Amino acid sequence: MNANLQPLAPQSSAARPAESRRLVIGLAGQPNVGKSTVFSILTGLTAEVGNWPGRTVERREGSARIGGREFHVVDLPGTYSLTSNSEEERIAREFILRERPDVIVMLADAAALERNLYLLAELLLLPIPVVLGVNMVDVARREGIEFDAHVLEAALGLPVVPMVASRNEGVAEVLAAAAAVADGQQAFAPDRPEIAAAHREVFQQVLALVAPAAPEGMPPDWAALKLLEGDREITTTAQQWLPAERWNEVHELLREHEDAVLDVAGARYEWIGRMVRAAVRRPRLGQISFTDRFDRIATHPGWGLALLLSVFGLVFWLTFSVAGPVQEWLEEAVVARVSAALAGVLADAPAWLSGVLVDGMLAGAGVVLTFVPVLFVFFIALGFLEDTGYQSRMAYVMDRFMHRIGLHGKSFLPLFLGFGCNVPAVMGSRVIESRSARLLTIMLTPFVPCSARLLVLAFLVPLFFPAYPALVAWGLVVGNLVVLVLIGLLLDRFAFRRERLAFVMEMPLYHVPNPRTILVFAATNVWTFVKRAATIIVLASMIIWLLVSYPGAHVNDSYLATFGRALEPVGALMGLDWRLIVATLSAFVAKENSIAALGIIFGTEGEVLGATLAALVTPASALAFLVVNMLFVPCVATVAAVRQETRSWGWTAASTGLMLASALLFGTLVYQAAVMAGLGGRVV
Amino acid sequence: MFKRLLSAVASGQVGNTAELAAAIDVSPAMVEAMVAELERRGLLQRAGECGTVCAGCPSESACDPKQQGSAWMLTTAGRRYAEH
Repeated sequence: MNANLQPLAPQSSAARPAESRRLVIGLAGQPNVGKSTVFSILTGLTAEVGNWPGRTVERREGSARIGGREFHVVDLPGTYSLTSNSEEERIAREFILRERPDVIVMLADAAALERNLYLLAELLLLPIPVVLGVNMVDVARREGIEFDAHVLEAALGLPVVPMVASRNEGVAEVLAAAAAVADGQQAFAPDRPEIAAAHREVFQQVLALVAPAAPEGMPPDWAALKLLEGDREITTTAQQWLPAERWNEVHELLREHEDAVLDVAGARYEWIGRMVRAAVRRPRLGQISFTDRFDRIATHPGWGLALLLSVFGLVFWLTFSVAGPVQEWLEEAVVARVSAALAGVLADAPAWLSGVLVDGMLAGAGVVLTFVPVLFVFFIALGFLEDTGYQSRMAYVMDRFMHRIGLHGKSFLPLFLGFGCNVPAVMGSRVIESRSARLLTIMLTPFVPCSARLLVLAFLVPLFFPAYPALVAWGLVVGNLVVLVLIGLLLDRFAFRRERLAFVMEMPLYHVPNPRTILVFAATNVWTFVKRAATIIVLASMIIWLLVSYPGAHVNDSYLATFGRALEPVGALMGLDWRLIVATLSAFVAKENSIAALGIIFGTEGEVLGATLAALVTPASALAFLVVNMLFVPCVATVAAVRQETRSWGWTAASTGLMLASALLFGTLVYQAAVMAGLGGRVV
Repeated sequence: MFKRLLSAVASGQVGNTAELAAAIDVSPAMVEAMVAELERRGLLQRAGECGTVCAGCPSESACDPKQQGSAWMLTTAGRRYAEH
């Protein structure tokens, strides 16, 4: 910045001689620019709070005395513009037009001048001089943004004062500048935004019709511009103050030039662009340039996809390498011992009680709890991706890839929201106007591998493939993404071909991750999961135990076995026996249930679950089971969200049916291919 | 200016603010300001507000928009202006 900031000295002896006239200052600005701080510094104990006449919005005003000069300061409501979109905006412009303050002091955020100058563009259309206070220059400087106040002042044609209101810097100067403008000691010759060339003629026509009848105090050119801009209040009141035949002419012109609404606002942004171009320098070094450079790879349709797949691989490799040994130790040294101890304590208890607690609750929830280290490392990795800013690129790069193969934007929303959780992605579809596009989004969303599914994958894969879990988990995620692409192409080809979803995305800058944030992220998620394990999963475990223990003495004679066997003809296509079928179905309530179900149904009897499964389930069946679990209906909450958003049981059934059909189809294909590759047959 | 931005979004050829800024030859900060204005005018609509639907989900914090970025879709009115 190129100005020396001086703290406000309420009775500065160095100030110039007092003027007799008290100046009325309107303090304007967009929300969160530090207006309240400036108002408090200026008015102190003189501040009075009331309501704007006939409104519920607070009006604050007070007096300031600087260098013997008295000011009456009115704090206008924070507004983005002066169009009648809100009560605050109407109040601000009514005050300026009716009460005619001597000067408007507009405050802007130095780090967001492009956004803030829109209000200035509107203020300059009114017949009151404006002084611009650019606040929070310290914050902007910390973000690497520099602006030259003299250049901006020359470009705007009005006084510009850099400020740090929180430290009382520049507050005195901005008021002194306002006084200088009011007294005619400082020039006020603003460069005002002009209307786009395409609409100058119609503006002149509207102006000619409006000018003779504009109410007192309302500048005719402002009224004409507001009419072109589609301002609701001016449009309504103009019908009263314009003669009927003249209003009809105006109305006809406005109807013919409907697109002028955007051109008026667009011209203001062109003006803002010109104003800040020379005056504001944004950093090209450091963080932004690193983001730019890295994004050339990270968001490239080809390299970005390769990076994304590598990142997935790395996450799984880290998870299994770091957490695997701890998990094994927990399973053998803690859960097995607790189980044995509990069995000992319950030795004299009824068999059902011992069974439900030891073989039901502990076998199910215990298996889940041994995965806490896996969970922790997995969430550390996810937290790292989030905190560096990479996570938002995952959706973007996948969408770019889909775009390349002809799916223009159709998969964006599911990918953008669905990687975290499918439920908000389904709910998020409501922003899409077209019903068919909304349905496409809803149908595609459950195919995005949500973090809960990735988590379950991190649980299940090492049980079946302890030798190379990272490779298998990575292959399954890649396979899932391939299925997503295929389903997208299928829906595009046969159902929603004409839909094209347009979006714009703001991605955060990359930054050095904060270890504390990541640890808190991981700990919070692990704790949430453990709480879940303590409720839903324990309950599900006990129910499953009861269903596999009764009525027969052997698990093969149980209710659950009878139910599962009824589905075995279908399961046989994928190499799934009744136990794996039941474990899959249990995941419908929550994905994590499948792990608990495996623990109970396969009754580990002292052995670790992984060893039992490795002995009983062939690699081909295990692969098919994992594929089915990846593609099967994500959870009951997603189905409920689909029903809520589609308001149709038919579409809910279609979505569920599509997931089920995909799970069966790809489960079968994978199983048959694995058998052909010599990875074994059906479980004996 | 707005029409160019809306047309660029509607074309589906650009997806993020940096690409959009390059496409219409303004700074990314200008694009962000204009996107905010278009959202206020109802021509773009923000996507991905989780509301309370994420409550209780084990991955709830994965929905943090600060980390995830923000996205806006064209509304019907926005599409109409883009095609005007």
